Amino acid sequence: MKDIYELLNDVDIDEGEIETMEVSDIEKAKVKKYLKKSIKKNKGWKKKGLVAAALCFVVIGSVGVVGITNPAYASEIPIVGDIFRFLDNGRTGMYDKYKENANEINVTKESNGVAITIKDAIFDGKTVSYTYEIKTDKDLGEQPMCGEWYFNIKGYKGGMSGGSVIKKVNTNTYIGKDDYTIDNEKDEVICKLNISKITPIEENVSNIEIEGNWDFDFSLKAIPGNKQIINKGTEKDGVKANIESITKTSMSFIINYSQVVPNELKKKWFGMSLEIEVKDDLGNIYKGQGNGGHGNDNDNTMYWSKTFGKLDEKATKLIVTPKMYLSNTGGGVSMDENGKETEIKHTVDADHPEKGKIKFDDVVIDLEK
Amino acid sequence: MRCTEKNYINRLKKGNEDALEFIVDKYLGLVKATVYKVLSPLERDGIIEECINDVFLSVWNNSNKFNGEELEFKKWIYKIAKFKAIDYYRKEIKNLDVSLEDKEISTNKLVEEEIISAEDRNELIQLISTLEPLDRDIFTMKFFLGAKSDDIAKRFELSRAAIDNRIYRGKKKLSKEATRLKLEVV
Repeated sequence: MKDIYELLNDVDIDEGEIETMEVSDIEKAKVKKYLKKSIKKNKGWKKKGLVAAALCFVVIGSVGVVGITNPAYASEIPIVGDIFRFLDNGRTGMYDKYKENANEINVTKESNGVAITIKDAIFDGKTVSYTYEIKTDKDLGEQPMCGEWYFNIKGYKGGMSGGSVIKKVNTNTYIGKDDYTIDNEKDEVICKLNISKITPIEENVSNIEIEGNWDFDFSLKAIPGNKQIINKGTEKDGVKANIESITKTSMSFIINYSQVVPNELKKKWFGMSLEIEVKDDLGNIYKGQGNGGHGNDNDNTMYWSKTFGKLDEKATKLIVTPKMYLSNTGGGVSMDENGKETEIKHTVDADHPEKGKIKFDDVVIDLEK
Repeated sequence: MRCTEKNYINRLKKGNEDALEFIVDKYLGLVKATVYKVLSPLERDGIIEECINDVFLSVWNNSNKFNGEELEFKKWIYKIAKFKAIDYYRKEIKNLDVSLEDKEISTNKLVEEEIISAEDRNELIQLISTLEPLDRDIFTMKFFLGAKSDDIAKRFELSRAAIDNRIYRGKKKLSKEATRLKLEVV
């Protein structure tokens, strides 16, 4: 009886198909460090399951990142100067201009042996992003989660979607970034962050739970943005994809877009999400981060937004390709005002295939100067 | 004794950690390129790193199953990286709400996809190892390394039709076995 490693050993392949790419010494060191720890901890190491993120409204989740490909900021480790860029790992380039535009906050609160510092925060009119550092006197594993971690914007009652990254950078030191996106746009936000519990999620440290009281208040003015109303759409298979507007700031641009689906499609598919891919007339391809979407179940319209890196100033046109992903898998949790959770589930059968996709024609947008 | 080009495979098999470091230095670029190619379209932070770590740990934990010289070792690491990356990709696709799917996976749900999606992949490995050697290699290439039938055909100097035919027959056999196994469990 052979196992997969023996099966793989048996199969011969052509050496020519093997490719390689450049890696830095820091990347090598990170992998080695991880391996050493894992080998020591557990000889019969088992792969830990993928972390399931709980869905509140819509959580576009992302987990920690290591591996520094860009030597230009390798010098910033282990004292991480630009957390935005560090956590992006130089992959999307989306956060390259964040640090220079952000408001330095640098407020530290200490409670129960844990010091939490809010480092920088920035608000682009729609999304609040802040970075933080946690220093503890205990090891909380690779990815501690924030057990009770409430973020509020004063006077704002709508839903928020967001994402969160946290990464261990040193013994008992973590850095992270949270993003919260609101439904409408604002010029200024007064933010309150109340943290009362930190919970590690890995099994071997999950018995440690640190309670405390870390409260932060900060207000942020929106980075001056230039909003251009677009209202240009495309339609396919009865589904309308509409580009509502673009907001350009000195570090990013945000595209607001929406989908309208016909009733019969709504009956067939449980999940219908519109994604966009964006490039410009100069050939730049922009990578971005979805901010989630909002809509009402009784309505067939969903509003989405996606944030991209800085727009090339020489670009005169944006080419947006909408794609709709359809699915009958997955699920989530909906929450009412009292915090009562209802599980949303769906089944796959003959009339409800597992997956589908609608690819729309490009929407070409002339950019205002 | 130091770990060198000449002895690192043996030292790895003996469980010397310096050999693992040597392998990371030598092969991280290869593993990263392989994993990156498969997983970067997911645009999901962290998964590439997790997968790369997993590849090296698997090399470490399964070094006694490797058999061969340096060139075979390089190929072995490459195959493990590819297999792991595809495995992560499949799992991730299934976990995603907003699915970024692969056409092949979604449009024809093949019997082996169903078996793979049955939580226990080991069962499929068990089943595949009951096939005759040539089929075993073909199946491993096709389903764990994601190779195209044309490439497999070239490799074994057979026609594409012959490969497809073998896959078809093999699948039938596997499907029978899988049903039997399931019944046994019940």
